[in-house]
Amino acid sequence: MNPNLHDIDLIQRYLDRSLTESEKKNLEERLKNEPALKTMYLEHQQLIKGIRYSYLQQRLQQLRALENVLPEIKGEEKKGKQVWLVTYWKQAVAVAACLVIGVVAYTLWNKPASAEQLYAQYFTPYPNVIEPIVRSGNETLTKRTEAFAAYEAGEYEKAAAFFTELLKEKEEAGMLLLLGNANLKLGRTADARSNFVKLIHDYNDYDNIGKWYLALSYLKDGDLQTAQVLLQEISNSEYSYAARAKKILKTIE
Amino acid sequence: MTDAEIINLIKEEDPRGLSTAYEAFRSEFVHWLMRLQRCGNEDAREFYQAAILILFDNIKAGKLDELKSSLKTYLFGIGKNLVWQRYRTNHRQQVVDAEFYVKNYLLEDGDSQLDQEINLEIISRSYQQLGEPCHELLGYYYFGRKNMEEISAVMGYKNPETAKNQKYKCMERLRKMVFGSIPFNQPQPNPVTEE
Repeated sequence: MNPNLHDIDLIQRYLDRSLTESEKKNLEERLKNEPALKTMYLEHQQLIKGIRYSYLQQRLQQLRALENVLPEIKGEEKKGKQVWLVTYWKQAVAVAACLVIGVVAYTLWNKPASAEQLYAQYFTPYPNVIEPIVRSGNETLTKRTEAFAAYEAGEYEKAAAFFTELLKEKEEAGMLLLLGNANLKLGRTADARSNFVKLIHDYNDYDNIGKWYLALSYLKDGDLQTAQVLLQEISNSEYSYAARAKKILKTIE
Repeated sequence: MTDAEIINLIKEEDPRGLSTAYEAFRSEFVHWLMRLQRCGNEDAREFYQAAILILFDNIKAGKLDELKSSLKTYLFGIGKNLVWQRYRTNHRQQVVDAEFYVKNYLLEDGDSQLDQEINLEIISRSYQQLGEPCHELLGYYYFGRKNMEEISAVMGYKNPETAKNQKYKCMERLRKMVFGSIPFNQPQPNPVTEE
């Protein structure tokens, strides 16, 4: 065995705590006396942490994408801290401006929001947390990675074509959800609805999310009544879309 | 979904695990932190994202296999540690991003004999540029916690020994990209792009 490979193997097993007591003692002794081995050990430890960091960074991007589509947390104040930095005269000007804007807005918009407006206000495509794309620059692209990459890049036409093809080969709940979103984004509401209905009917994984996007697809088509039924159901659940569903219902009423 | 189901999903690399855990405790955690730290929601959310990632990493490492408390209690325990970490640093007055907490967590984790700042960003970038099959293989081993038997089966190697040799070559390549031939305690070079 290559001596370096042997030492790396020892170091790895030392870090995994899988060395025997005598192997451990021997390695610790060598680490004290062999600077080159000590360097190898320290570098190895750093590289492992760097690899773990890389993975956690990817997951962080997923969480941030997810955060963007989640409802605001009740009681949240956007940029709350900055309120205290504003001096009194600025606050007075801000309040006056808000009043003027409020009066104008009330006059102009004193009518219920249309279904289409509500759709535009609330629809954000579900982020690709299903199979996030890791770009190393020189990987071979499969149809599958191309599909998810296109979705992430907002190329919904391309993503929908790939997803449709892939779903013919094998059905998957996550992919069906993204296909529905791509179709909805492209304005193909009937196709989107068929995707979401299948998702809700055939799988248990994304029921609530599926119902939310199904409701939005009805809003897009101006069918307030059907959307209301679905939103009512979502608003009675404990899931994160409940707050938004209640808001829409309140606006409709 | 129960705690055990969430833990299993995360261990199986099912993305629903992470998103379900994130949504389940989000509101309560953020409110708790805003009260405790008297911080804004933006700050609290960065805190929360770091706490969830640390929870995720601990689950992957098998640290929650015999969890005695609830997942929520464990998560809030992580949150309290992060708060103390924040007090120990000089970042009380500004919003600190999640990466800060994650890096600190990794640097403090395990048998660390490293006092000096490790540039995790450089290693992470080099790892991203490593190419296949190294990127996948090292990911399976160090993050997916798969053993050589599992890796050789998933990646189609002849046997675990072949996978082990390949892993060694990959680590050497990464080592060269990150450190070159410069000894550990000297300034680190910029990442070298694979030719």
